[in-house]
Amino acid sequence: MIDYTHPHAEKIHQETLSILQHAPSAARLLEQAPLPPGALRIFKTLYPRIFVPDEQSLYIGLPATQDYTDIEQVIDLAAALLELKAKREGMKRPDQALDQEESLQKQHLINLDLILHTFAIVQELEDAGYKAVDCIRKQGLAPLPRVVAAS
Amino acid sequence: MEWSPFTVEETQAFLNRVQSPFLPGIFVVETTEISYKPLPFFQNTRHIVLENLAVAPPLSLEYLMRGDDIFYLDGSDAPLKALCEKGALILKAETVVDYLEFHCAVVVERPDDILLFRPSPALRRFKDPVHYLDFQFDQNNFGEHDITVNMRPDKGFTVHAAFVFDGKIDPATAHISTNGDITINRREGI
Repeated sequence: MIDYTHPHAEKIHQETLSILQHAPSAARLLEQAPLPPGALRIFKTLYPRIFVPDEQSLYIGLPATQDYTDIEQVIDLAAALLELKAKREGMKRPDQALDQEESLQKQHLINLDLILHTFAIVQELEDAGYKAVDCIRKQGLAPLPRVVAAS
Repeated sequence: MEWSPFTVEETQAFLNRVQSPFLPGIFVVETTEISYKPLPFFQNTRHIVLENLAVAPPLSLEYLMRGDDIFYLDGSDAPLKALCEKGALILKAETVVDYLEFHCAVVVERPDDILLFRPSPALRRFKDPVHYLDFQFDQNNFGEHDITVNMRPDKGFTVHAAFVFDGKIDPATAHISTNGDITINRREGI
């Protein structure tokens, strides 16, 4: 059986949650709906990714070679927590039976909503001294609020 | 080489091999598509990409499969080393650049990711494919012809090419040993 557990999972798990507590909105999220033990799983993958399979768990994927916590993972965790909250409130990713175009449209609307809500946490992390805005800028997402406001 | 899709039966059989109780919700046949292509530098080996389409963009996991052996690509060099130790590597002048490109793509050197700077396979079909480094001034163009390959006396290879080092492009020399090990020496200053 393939072992997907990240070799530095425990360290990254603790550090990511600890840094996220510096953003008051994220701290409130964790306080209102604490993660059950084992809910956050850090697994090995080629590219950093998050995956929220249901209302109880969230996964963060990272290359096995990464032995440190990057602000990117903290932002990813914030987005995953927001998705978890949305799922607990009834949000559902579109069904595979839908037409592909309709499905993608719904997926992207959900992603956009999550990203925009994540921005508030990004700003709070920036205010706490982390280079969170720069990380968002490198991902090409910085102009998003302006584009949404203009549309 | 083109990607080919797995049938539903093949998908289910593969998921049975790679699924893990550690990650419930990822290996679900209804939301998964799997495709594969052979790799010219590994004997009888398929590069397999599993995509869970429950999210967009899809969550992708990648594997190498040779016979019954499955190697999960986790960002370390362990799966490539394991395959090379089994004698799968076909190292020759025609395959070494593809191997180097693949190695760079699947062995993630955090925090400074290194990628071979190379036209995409679609562009390589043209006679003189070129990558434009500087879009504004149209300078420092690189193409496939800028990649030079030399065989060493020990049957390993030296490849001179442009690489992307965590987003910055610099020339470098890659040394590829017959056992598949790769070292890349950066030369700054284009």
